[in-house]
Amino acid sequence: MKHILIIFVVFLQYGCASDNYYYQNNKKVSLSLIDSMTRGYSSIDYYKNERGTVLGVSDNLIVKLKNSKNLSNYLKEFDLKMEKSLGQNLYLLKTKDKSLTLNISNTLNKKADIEYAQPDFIKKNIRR
Amino acid sequence: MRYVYLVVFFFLFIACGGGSIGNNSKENIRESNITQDSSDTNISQEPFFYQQWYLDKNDTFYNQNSIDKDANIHPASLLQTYGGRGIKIAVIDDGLDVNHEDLVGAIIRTYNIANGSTNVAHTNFKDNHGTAVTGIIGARVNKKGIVGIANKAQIIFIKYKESMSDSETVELFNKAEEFGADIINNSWGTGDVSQVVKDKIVDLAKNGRGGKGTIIVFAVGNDNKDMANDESAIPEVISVGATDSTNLRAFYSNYGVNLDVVAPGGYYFGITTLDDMGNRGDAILNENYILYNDPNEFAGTSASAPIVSGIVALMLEKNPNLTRSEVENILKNSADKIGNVPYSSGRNNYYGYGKVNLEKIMNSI
Repeated sequence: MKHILIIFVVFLQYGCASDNYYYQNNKKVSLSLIDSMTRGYSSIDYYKNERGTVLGVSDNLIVKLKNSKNLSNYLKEFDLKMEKSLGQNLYLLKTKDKSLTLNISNTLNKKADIEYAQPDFIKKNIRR
Repeated sequence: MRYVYLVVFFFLFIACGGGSIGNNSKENIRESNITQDSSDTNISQEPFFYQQWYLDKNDTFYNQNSIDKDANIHPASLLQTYGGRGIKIAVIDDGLDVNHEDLVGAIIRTYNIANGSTNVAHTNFKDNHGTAVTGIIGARVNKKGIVGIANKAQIIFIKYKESMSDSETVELFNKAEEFGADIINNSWGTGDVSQVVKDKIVDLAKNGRGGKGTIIVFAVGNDNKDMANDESAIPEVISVGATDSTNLRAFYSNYGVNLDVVAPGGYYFGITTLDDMGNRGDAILNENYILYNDPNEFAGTSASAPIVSGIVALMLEKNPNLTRSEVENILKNSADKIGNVPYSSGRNNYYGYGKVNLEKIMNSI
């Protein structure tokens, strides 16, 4: 009985712990998790957004700041690591775990000095 | 005194043309350049030029195959005059046979996003997409294979990964910018562009090329559906749909409010272009070229986009100062209103502003 309870809690954790949406151009876009059974074993979680696009979410996120004054504070506050600069005030950051990426992106997105934040989505390029 | 006469005579001899060795050698060099240039532009000597129905009208080939007389881009003799000299075109695609016989001298830079190397060979033995796209743009005039529209342009090839993160996609465009691309051809898309990628593309389109704006061309896709939030739907890019040999929209070509122009992409008749050489690649009828009637033909908006990228290179050769928005306006305003869908304010969602017409385009520059 105890084991069943633990398994139930683990599933709940994976199913409910992280946000199931992101922001694009300040609009909320819903996500549904694909294949939640393998979630704990892969470095990427795969979601489908409301337009049907499959998006991979890893432990990387992208943030565009209006200015970089508060960057170091945000790195500290959210326990983020700087991966690299992608352009002016545009950074690739790493979270402690992929399960945190959506939550942190969404929280950063609401900060006044941040233009936008989003997971570093992984997508398939389609030849035409 | 006798020696002085000899020296003076010697100088006079050299200076006045009696010194035919010096003058003739200069003349020979100039002549050989002229000869090379003129033979280099004799596109009719390319063995498969006759079947490049998308570029020019070969009466025999058109009649034999019942191709609509206007299915081509109406080049007049402009392909003999212009070749995209001095223009750099970046092709972002899945891989390239850099040693292809019809691309000798065309490729100036390569970059592989997967490992930062210069090796851009196709990962899979049968793949040929990037080589086919590059050939439509830049195949040389060398009495081999086909003629590329911008056969004098310099090609930068950037190899993408099939599955890519947004930061890697931004890196693709950063590299094209770093390598000095005037035009970026994209015969690919994700169907759903992220904000960061869109921002990068818009920034490059507005501020690249020293402030004149980089011309970014995207194929709209082959799913007969709305472009929706695809990369090609970004207003600052030139989005290109496909027509076929009947000079109508190819049934597969995506559509939408942001479609700019259409260009030949083929369907029943494919676009003759390059295959990876030898036993690599996917062509069946010829080892090195994908012929129009190959069972594994090359057709799609992937073929239409490089036709437009090539045309833009000719435009920039004629006037390098054209801005991105001027290029876009010329393409739109000179397009032929083909098809059976009514045009409202000069456009509709299935043909955009119409089909590109090279003669009209170049005449309006």
